[in-house]
Amino acid sequence: MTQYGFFFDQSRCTGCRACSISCKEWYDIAPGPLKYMRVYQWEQGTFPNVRLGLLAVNCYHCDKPACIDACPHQAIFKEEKYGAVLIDEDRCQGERECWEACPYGAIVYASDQKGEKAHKCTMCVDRLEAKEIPICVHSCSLRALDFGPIDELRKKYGDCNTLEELPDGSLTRPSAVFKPRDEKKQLVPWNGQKVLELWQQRGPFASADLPPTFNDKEAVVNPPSGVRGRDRLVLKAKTVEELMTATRDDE
Amino acid sequence: MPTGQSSTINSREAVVGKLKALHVDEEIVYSGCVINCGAGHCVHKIRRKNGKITAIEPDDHYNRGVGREDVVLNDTDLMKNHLQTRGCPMAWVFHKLIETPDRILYPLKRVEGSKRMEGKYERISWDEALDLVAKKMEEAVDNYGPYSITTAYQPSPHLERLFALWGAGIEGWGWCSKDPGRLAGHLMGGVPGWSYNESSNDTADVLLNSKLIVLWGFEPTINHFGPGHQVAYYLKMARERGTPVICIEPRYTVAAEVLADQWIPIKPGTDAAMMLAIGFLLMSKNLYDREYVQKYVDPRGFEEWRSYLLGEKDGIPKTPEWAEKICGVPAETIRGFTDLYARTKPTWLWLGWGPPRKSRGENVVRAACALQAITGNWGVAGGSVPIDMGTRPKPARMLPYGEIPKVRVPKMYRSHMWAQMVLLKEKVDSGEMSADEYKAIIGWRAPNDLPLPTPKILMGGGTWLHNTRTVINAADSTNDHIKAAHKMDFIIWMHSHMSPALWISDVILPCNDQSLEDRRIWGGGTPGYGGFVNITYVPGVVEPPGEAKPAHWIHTEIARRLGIGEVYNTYCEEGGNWWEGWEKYLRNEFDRMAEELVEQGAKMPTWEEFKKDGLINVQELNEEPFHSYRSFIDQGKPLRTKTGKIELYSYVIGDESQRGQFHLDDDGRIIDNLPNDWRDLPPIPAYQPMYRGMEHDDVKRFPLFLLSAYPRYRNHTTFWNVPLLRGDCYRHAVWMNPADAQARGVKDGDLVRIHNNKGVGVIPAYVTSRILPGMIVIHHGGNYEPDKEGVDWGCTPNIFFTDNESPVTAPRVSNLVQIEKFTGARPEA
Repeated sequence: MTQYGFFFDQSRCTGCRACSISCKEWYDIAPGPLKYMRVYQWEQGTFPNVRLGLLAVNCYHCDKPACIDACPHQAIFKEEKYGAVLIDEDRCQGERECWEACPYGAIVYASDQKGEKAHKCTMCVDRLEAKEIPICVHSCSLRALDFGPIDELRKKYGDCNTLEELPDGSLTRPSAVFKPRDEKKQLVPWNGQKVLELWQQRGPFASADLPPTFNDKEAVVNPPSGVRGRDRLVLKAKTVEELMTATRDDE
Repeated sequence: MPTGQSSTINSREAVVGKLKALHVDEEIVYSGCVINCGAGHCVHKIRRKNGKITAIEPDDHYNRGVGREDVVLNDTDLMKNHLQTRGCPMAWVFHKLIETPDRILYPLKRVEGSKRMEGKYERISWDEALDLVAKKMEEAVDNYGPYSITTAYQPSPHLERLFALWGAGIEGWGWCSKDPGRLAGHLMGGVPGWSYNESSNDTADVLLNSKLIVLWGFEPTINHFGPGHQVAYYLKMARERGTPVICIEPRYTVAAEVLADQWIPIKPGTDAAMMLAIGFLLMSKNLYDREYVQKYVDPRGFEEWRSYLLGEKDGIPKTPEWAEKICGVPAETIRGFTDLYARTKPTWLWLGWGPPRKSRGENVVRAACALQAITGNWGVAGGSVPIDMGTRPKPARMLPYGEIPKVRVPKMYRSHMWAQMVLLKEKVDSGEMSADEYKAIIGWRAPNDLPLPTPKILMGGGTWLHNTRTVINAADSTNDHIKAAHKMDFIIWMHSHMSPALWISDVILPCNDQSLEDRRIWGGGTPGYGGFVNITYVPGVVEPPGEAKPAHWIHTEIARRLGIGEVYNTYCEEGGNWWEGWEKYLRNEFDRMAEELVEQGAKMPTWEEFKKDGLINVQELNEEPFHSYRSFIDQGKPLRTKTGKIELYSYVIGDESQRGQFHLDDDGRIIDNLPNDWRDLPPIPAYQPMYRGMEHDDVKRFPLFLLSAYPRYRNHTTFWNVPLLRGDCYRHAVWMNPADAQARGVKDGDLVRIHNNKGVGVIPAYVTSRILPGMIVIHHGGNYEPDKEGVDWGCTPNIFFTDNESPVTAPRVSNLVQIEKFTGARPEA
């Protein structure tokens, strides 16, 4: 067996979901939570020191797949040609042990109903058999993804097997190589406090009796939790609603 | 319990077999994508089975089986576009769009006795519909004269031809996207707005030659998908190669996160103030490129601008301290930026279409071009003239189906002033308003001896048909537009999908989907946006549903009924097989293009090969990256401005005696985007506070500044109705800062009611620190979905917008509003 795997360059991901959409469309999946490729966008910090987290996560067809060990019905298996981890739907009883076990949240369900069968990324084994690459990789316009034998990917891209937001790679040994996002640089001097002060003032052309742009600086820089949307990453969503909220945005 | 290898193998066969079964016995068809994204040069690999599309995959003309293409490509490959045209996220569900339940299948007529906007229609035959349309057009001309038939939002190439040959009908001038830029190009560089003679750099030029990249209000990961993403991909590679990137934006965009080293937030609509301060520093500290200015910039314009920046006449030096109070960017940041900008050459400073689109956008784009001029960035590799993202002119262009008429009907009004053109005409007729005042407001751009318009018929749609419902969602203030439409005797709309915006029509004509149901050569009309210089073939992958017809068929049939069928379309004979005539036309155009391309050294496929393969990569012909204004610098060829140099000062606008005239330049070319009366447009790029901005007194009533910007998962309104995008990928919500949300008891996901004196809408809140307090954003292209009270539950931002006050900019992207938490329920329809 040659183990195949993925490369994900987080510094290139724009969160556009071409990967996720083309995957759903290729497998003719109805709109909703069955997203084999989950794309997350969440914010970190507050204005004016804000950043945007972006992450596209699929199944990493691990070397030590926690889902296989967890399944009481042997419904999940490692396929021997490409090393893809696949679910045999006929055997799945929907007990969600695999969901509990997978640290990446790769298992998804069509509903929250008990007994709902588990689904996940197939590594596009059908496309591989036709000498095509996985549809997510092919549709990524920033070329943030790559696919191939994992040994070759490691030669090309190094052996980083996790990201800050992902579980320790030693847990399940994912067949994946990662590149983290870029650090920001201050190319020109910039002072966030000064920006806030300038922003609070309406401007030189405003009448003197107009109120400031905002009253409470604290409400800008230190909002209470629960006010903002997607202010943290939810890698493992517990419900359909949680998954849908975590994997759509407002762009 | 089954164990061991044999059970795994059994499972594999079953599982893999099931997956393979999803795509068997399919045909592969290549097709160009036709959508109003600014380019439309992507190729899709389409799978078809039993006449239905089963999947759309990215192009694989190059590097088949390669994921990360830049790993295997060298710089020449990147320059020649030896890479796949990977489309936007919408591309992969394009076929879902043509199957939505709101497709219009038959010609429709408003039910006798029902009112406009009630949405009651009955099916009629094509003959009945077309006869009625032609009869109404003829009656209007007989009763009200030739200027009684109008179009709104944008000129239509079909109607331009039809009206010209018929000798009646009027159009608006200008286009929403970049009119200030087109004006700047003509005034500063002598390049008419529509000529496409000089565009910008291709992406390879930016990647290989720029030393500093400034994304000013430019978000290629959201806007202009496909080609936008090609730009984003190249910008990202440039950054990976060490080119510094700065992003100046009011929001923390995806581009600010992914493409830029540093984000500089700026108050919306104040970009020109920061640019002037940069200009001030360049001038006062002698940081500008003296040698370049002496050679290439008109000294009068340089002196006028220098004097203005230094405050020699108005007593206000445009210092960083002056600017920071306006734009919210600290003075030390402006100084730091100027130092970096002045010492790093060449700089690709790129202005998105957003900043010039706001009120007073004429100043922003001219100031950006002026900065690039005095720093020596016009016409050099890696520099930019930040106007048009198109690249080198394509050697081949599609012609209409017959000769282009030499005499065209006048363009009497700013296309975005259609509603006011109609509504204010009544005031002129009743003597409340003078003709001169009327002309100044509607942006009259025609000879003065012509009579005023007598609008009685509105014809819309059929061109860029996917987004033409935006005449209500994007052009005029929605409610003003509806009010004006009610004044019409007759309204005709051509569209593919039904929506409440179409309920204003008396007759609705169903159109083909241009991308998947029509047949054409594509990409032959405009330069490649950003770097795709492709010509593609669109074969018509599936049959249109019901009785939907191509827009060119509909216009031809109207022309026949007006007695000009034979001159309007010289290919398709009356009573003949439409597609045979059409094929003859396409073939003819292909041969003509082939001749031009072969002259330039191209190896052309045969017509049959092209139809199968679907792609001609014109970029292949070029041996080096492209940048504009090259002959001006490299060969010393004078610009076609008055002085032959870059003009920071307009000799037209500076000359009061020309005000009110129909403006031609010294070569006799119409200045496309300059109305006869330029009102208060200054001759140099200056700062004028925007209309109804954050400093306006009305913030007492409406304290939040609303801006509309482009969304990622719609093309205007198109794709709004595809659940794999809306719902799965995005929520149509209003962006607001947590400070503004908390002050109103709102948290993320709550429904809020937004209102001002123009309209009311309801929408969920996206509470985010990525937007500055005091401003909110609703993305453009939401569907107009009014309830009985007129509350818009689709919450298109245009319901809140107001009339134009900038003479050239189409500024309906902002206004002041108030927001409160909404606690009621949506009334039943």
